[in-house]
Amino acid sequence: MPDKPIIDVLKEKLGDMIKSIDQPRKRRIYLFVDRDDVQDAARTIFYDMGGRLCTASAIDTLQGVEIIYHFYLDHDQMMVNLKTLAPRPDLVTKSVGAVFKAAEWIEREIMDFFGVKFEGHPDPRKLLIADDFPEGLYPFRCDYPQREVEGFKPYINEPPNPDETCEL
Amino acid sequence: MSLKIGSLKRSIWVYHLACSPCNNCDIEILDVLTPRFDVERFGIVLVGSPRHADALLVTGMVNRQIKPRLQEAYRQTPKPCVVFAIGSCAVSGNFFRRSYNMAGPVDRVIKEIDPNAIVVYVPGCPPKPEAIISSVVKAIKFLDNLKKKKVKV
Amino acid sequence: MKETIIPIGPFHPLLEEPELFVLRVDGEIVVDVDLRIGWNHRGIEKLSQGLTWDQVPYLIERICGICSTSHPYACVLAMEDILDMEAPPRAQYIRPVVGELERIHSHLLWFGLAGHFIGYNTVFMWAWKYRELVLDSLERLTGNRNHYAMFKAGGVRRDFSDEAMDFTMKAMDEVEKALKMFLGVALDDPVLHKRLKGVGVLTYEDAIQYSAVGPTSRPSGVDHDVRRDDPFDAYGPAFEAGVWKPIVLQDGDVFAKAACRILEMLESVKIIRWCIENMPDGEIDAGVTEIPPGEGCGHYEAPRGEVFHYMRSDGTGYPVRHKVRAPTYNNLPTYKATCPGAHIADVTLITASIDPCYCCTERVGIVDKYNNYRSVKQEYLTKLSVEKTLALKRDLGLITWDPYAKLLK
Repeated sequence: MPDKPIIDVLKEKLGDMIKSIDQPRKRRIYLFVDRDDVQDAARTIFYDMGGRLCTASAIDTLQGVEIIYHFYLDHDQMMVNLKTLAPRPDLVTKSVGAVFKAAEWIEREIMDFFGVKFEGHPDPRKLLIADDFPEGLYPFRCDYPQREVEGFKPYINEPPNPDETCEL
Repeated sequence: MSLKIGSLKRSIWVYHLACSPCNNCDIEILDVLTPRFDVERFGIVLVGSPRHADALLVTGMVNRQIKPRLQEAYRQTPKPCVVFAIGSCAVSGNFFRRSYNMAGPVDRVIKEIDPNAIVVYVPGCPPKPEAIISSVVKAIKFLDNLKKKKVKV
Repeated sequence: MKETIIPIGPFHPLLEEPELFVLRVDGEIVVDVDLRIGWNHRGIEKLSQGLTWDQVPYLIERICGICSTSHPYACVLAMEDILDMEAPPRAQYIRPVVGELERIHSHLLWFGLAGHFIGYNTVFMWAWKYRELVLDSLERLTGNRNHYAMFKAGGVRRDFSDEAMDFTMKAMDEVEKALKMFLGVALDDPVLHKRLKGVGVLTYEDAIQYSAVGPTSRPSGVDHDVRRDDPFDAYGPAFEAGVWKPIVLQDGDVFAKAACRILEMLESVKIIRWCIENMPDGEIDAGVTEIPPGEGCGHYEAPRGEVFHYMRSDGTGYPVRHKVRAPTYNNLPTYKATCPGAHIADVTLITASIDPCYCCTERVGIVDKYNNYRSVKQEYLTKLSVEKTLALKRDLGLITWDPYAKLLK
């Protein structure tokens, strides 16, 4: 068990990079930093505090795309969620994949699906999206036209033609 | 369910294609080869190339990336061949029919290049190994009757 | 012209062009590896935003067929994190039993496939034969061999019957005997020692840099296990009572990964027995009707590593965001650290050693240093791997004919 609560250790190490911090559950801490400080905050949590990057989630909100990096401190039994915002209209933020390799793939995925630009990413190629997916359309954004995408229609089930089928 | 051994007049060679499935149907297909169900005693063998196959076992909802590959594999299979669409995802798309990456269930993709293809549907999520064996037996009986012109398609 | 080989994920359509892995090879040694994925992408996270809270576990079960308990378990833990509640005591003991039975069947599946790639087909048939026993107990306990539909926020949907639990205890005795046989047969074989030791080593520093999880990182010395580090349900009391412990080894090669999985199966048998013997009575469902606004994270130790789900709700009947991260996603980039320096015939084993879930892996392609492209079939790769095993056997004096004589003709 740690000597000091993790929330105090974080406040001490990150200082005034933290805009807001909260511990709503016994093992969950949520903190918010600015997009220019996210690389230093991630470096502190990963290297100094021994956190392991679980993943990163991205959500499309009114102010921009909110990106959350989830770390788990195995020895101290605490999950630290580092939030940052890539504001509209340009949706640009600094890349954590330049700090450690574990974040490279997940940032490529966020680039594919949300159109966020990560400055300093070592390898910004497409990861999951199909090669022939239309350019400029990002499926996870709130304004993605679900029904009709250029060149592609969702499949609607039709009942089978009774003349062409037979019961075996 | 009793297998009419006499109806398995030839041993068919199958080629297995996994077109973005959840892999449950693929494991049930592999289970069919293991000692409990054991179709190798009927001569049904998994081959490594579509050019040697009599039947294609296709699982999964077909997504945009893999659709041209599926059509290419179908073209390489020597005709006559039977396409088995195994599992609910291959038959109708299941949950994924509204996804942005969906390119159609298997029969729509195959009938784009060959409107006269023979497709056998095996629903289930996943279909049990007994259901897969039973579908293969019924399909062979049907093809036999087709050859003898007892049934029209 | 030199050719590079790329292992193809087991049982994938072997069609011409598409690459998953692009290996750069110099002679017979791999120099670099590059990955391309996306063939199995189905858009599940987007679909989950259109379903109600109690329909979500049905969709999430179908992310993967082999780990079809792990994803709904993590999803349900995330929902309970939003609600800040725990399941009733009987449900807390039912859920780990299903999870651990699934771990045994998944590791046996891997073990059989690994044996097939090395060339031991008997191991393949035996491992899958004992797997049928585990699937039988699952069918009696939950009703289906694969997609169980047992999990919901606040408990489980169906109860276990006493006859099913008795059958499971008997099946566990059989499975334990078989596992001890595998432990002796597989791990004491000198051919396997020569074939697997020192191959595909993942160092401790690399495992931390890439944040590898599960039985990919524990054999390299990384001591983490979600069931112990973030205890939930009956795992916490079981660990306190000394029933099980995580398996951590030091070498980091393919042999250590195989040994880690077999030993983990033995620990799972202990957990199942303890949970069934100490199962309390009572209700199985807490009766959750709606999810308030908030966010929650849930994670679970799947057979392949840590599964992570993040959910956010705004009080309506649908999730606003549901993020899913499968364990293979964090383990795949470790190929950049384990493959360079390896022999081509070993690449099949190295890629199989992280136990890639089929839904996360796709095919592989080959490029040699003169940029000549040639695509190779899985049969050829498996044949190379089997021939290397036979050559090793010949060196040890166990067989007298030369498997490479055909190639020299």
